[in-house]
Amino acid sequence: MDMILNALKYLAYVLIFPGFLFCFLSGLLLCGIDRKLVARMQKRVGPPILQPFYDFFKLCGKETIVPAAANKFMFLMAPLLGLAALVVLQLFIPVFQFNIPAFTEVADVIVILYLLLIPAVSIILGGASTGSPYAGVGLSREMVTVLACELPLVLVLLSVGKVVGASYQGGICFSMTKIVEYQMSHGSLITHAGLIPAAIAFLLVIPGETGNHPFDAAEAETEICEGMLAEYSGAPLGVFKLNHGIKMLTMTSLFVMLFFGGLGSGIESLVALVGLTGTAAHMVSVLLAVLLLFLLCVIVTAVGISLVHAVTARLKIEQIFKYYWTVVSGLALLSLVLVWYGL
Amino acid sequence: MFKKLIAESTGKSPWLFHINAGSCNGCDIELVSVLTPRYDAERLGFKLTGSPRHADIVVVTGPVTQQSLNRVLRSIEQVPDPKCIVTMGSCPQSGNVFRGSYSVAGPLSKYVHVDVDVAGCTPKPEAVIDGLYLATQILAEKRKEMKK
Amino acid sequence: MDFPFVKEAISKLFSKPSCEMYVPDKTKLGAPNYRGRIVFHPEKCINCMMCERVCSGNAITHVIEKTPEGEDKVTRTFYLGSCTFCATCMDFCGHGAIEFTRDYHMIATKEEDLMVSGTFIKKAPVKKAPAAKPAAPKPAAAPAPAEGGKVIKPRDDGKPVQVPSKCVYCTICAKKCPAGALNVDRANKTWELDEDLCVGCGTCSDACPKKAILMPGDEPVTEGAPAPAPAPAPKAAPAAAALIQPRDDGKPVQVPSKCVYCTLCAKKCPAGALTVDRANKTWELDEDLCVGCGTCAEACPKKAILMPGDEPVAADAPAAAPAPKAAAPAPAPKKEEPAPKAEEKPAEPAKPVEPRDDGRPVQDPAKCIYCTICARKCPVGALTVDRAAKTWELDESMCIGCGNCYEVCPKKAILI
Repeated sequence: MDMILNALKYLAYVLIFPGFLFCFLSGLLLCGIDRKLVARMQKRVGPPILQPFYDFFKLCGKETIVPAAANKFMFLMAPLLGLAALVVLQLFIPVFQFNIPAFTEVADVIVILYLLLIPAVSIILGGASTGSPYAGVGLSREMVTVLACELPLVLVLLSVGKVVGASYQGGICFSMTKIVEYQMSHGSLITHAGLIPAAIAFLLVIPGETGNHPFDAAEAETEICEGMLAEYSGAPLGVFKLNHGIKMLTMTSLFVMLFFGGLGSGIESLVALVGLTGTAAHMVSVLLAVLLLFLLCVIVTAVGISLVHAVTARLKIEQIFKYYWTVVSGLALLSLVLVWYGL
Repeated sequence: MFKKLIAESTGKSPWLFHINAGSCNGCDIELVSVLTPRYDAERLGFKLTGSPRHADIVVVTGPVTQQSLNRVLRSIEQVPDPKCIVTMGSCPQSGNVFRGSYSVAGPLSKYVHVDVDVAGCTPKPEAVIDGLYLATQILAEKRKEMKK
Repeated sequence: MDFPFVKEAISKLFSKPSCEMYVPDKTKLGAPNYRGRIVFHPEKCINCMMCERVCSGNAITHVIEKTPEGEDKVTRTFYLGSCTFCATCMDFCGHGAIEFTRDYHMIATKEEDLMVSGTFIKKAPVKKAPAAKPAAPKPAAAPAPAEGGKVIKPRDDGKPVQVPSKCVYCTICAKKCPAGALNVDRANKTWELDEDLCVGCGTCSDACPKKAILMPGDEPVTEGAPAPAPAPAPKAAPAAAALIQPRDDGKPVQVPSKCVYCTLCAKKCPAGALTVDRANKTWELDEDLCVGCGTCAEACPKKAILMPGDEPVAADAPAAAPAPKAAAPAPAPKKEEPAPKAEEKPAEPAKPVEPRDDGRPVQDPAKCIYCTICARKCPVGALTVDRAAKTWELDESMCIGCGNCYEVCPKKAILI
C-alpha cells in the first residue's frame, strides 16, 4: 500500500510538480514574457503573453511530415528525449528550502551539468537523423555553442562550490541542497563579493545555453533555415519549442538558486505569522516559494535574455566561441581565483 | 479539450514563409516592413520562419519565373496542412508587366490553389496585414474541415 | 564592447509603443494622391482604347456586343491583379473616365473581386440637325452654288475629314494624334488617315491651326477656295520686275518695305520658326520649323507677310501699290487698301512736321484735336493723349511702328 502511494506521489512529482505540467506552463509563459519584453524594448506592442501556447497547440494540430531520408524513430524520439531530460533536470533543482529529498539527494551540480547537455544532444540527434544539409551546418554550430558555454559554466559552478564547501567539510561542495542551505544561513551568494563576476558570467551563459538571440547561430532562420529544425514540422517541432521554453526556465531557476537562494528564508516564518500550521502552512509556503521563484526567473529572463536579445545582432559562430572562452570564461576564472584565496 | 485548444490556436499563430519567385524586391521589402515596430504584425502572432516545414501561410511574391517555378511548387508542397497560400502584389496573380514573357511561367493560380490575393504594386503594409488576417481566418476554417 | 542601445531599450520598455494598431477597417484610406483601387466612369468613356494601349500590365480589356439598335455595348474591365498602378491610363484618358482612389484594401479570395468593370453604349454619331445651329446651313449653302465646288461634310462614324482647300499640310495634326493614325506629307501634300488606328478622339481637329479638319457636328465646308486665289499671282508677275512673289511651298515671305519689325509675327508663330530683331531690322525664317500655317501673315499689322494666294508686292513699298489693283478679284486687295493711302500721305506734306524715318508716328499739332482715338487704338499702349491738357506723348520704347494710330486718326494729324 505504501509502495503504491509512494509511486503515486513520485508520479505526481514527475508529471505535475515540479515536473512536466509545471515546466510546461511556466516554461512557455516565460517564453511569452520574453517575447513581449523584447517587443516592448523595440517599441512594439508585441504578441500576447500566451503566444507560445498558441504556437504549441497550433503545431500539435499540424500535419507531421517525416522526411523519406530520415530515421523515423530517431526523428520522432529526439524531442521527447530532450523534454524528458529537462523535466528530470527541473526535479533536481530545489525551490529554495523545499526540495524532494529523493531527487536532490541523489543528484548534485555535476548531474545537472550533464543533464543540461542532453537537450542539446537531442536536438543534434534529431537534426542529424533528417540528413538535411541545413541540419548538418546547424548541428556543427550547436556543438560549438555547447562547448563554448560549457567552460564558463563549469568554472562558475566550481567557484560557487568552493565558497559553499569552505564552510562545510572543506574542499568543493557540489550538492544543490547544501548550496541552498548555505544561503539560508549565510545570505544569498550574490552578496559574496568574490562571486559577483561569476554571477555575471552565469547571466551571460544563459542565452548561449538556451540558444537565444545573439547566440542562436545554430538556429539562424534567415541563413540556414532554422538549422537542425529545418525538417521538423507539427507536434515534434512544438515539443522542441517547448524544450526551448523549459530550458529558459531551468537555466534561470538554476541561476536564482545559485545566487539568490537565500531570499526564500523568510517564507516559513511569514506563513507562521499569518497563523497557518501543519499541512496548510506547508502548502502555502511552497506556493509562495514557487511564485517567488517564478518572479525571480522573470527578472533574470528580462535582464539576461530579453535585454540582450533586444540590443544585439546575431553573432557568427566563431565570435560566439571567442566571446565565451575569453570574456565570459575570464570573468568566471577571476571569480574562482578570488574565491580560492578566500575572498 | 485538447482539440478545442488546437482549434482556437490555429488562427492565432500564423507563421509565414516567404517565397521570392522572381520578384523585383518591392513586395519583399513591404512584407518585412509589416513586422517593423510601426505595423508590428507579431502582435497578431505572425512570425517569419526560415523553413517551409514550419509555415502556415506561404507568401509568394514575383511573377513565378521558369527558373523558380519548380522550386516554388516544391516549397509549397513541403508546407504541412492546414496551409494557406497568399499572393502578394500583382505579379504572382497575373504576371503583371512581365506577362507573356518567355521566362515567366505564372500566374501561380495555374499550378496551385491560391487562397488570398493581395493586389497592389506593391501593396501598402496595411493591405498586406489585411490579406494575412483574412488568411488566418481561412486557416482556422481549413483546420475545422481537416478534423471532419 | 559597446552596446549603444541598452539605454534606449530600457527607456522604450517604459514608453508607449509606436505601433499603428491594426483594425480590420475597410473604409480607411491611403495618403493623399495614393493610387489605389481604380474607379471607371463608363458614362464618360468614348472607347478610344488609349488606356488599353498604354497599359503596361495588359490589365485593361473590353468586350463589344451589338445591341438590337445597332449600337455597340462596350464593357471595359480593369483587372487589378495585373495592374501596376502607374496611372498612365488615367493620364492618357482625355475624358476623365478613369480614376484612382485612395482605397488600398484590394484583398480578394476570388479573381472576380479584383475586377473593376463598367458597361456603356457607344452611341452612333449624331448627325447635326439644321435647327441645332441656325448659322450652319447659311455659309454652307451660299458659297456652294457660287463656286460650284464640292461640299465636304463631316463623316458620321466619328472620324476626321480633311478640307484640302484649307489644309496647309503643316503636320501638326499628325504630331498630336495620340493613336498615330494620321500620316501627313508636307512635300507631297498628302493627308492620309489610317482608319484602323483612328479612335475618333478629335485631337487633330482641335490642334489644326487652319480648322481644316472636320469632326462630327462641324459645319460642312465648301471646297474650291484655293482655285481662284493662286490665279492672280502669275498674272501680276510680269507687271513689275522687282515684285516680291509669295512662295509656292506654303511658307511666308516678308515684304521688307512694309515690315516694321514689330516682332508680332514671331510672337504668334506656333512653331517658333520666326526670328525678328527690331534693333537690327532682321526677319529670319527657319524653314525647317515653319509649318506654313499663315498665322504670321494674319498677325502682321502691316500686311508685310505674303502667303500663297496673296498678291505679289513690289520690293519698294509705295511704287508697288498699283500692282494689286490690276488683279482685283481676289479677297486680298481689300486688305491692302490702306497701303495706297499710306503712300499718298507722306508724298503730300509741305508742313513743318516731318515724318520720322524709324517708322514711328509723329503728331501734327496743327491738325490734332486730341480726340484720344489714336491712343485707344494703339495695340501696345504706347500713346498717351490728354484731351484737357492738350498733350500727345509717344513712348518710343513701346511703339512698334504699326501705323494703327495713323490709320484711325480722323484728322490725318499723324504722320508716319
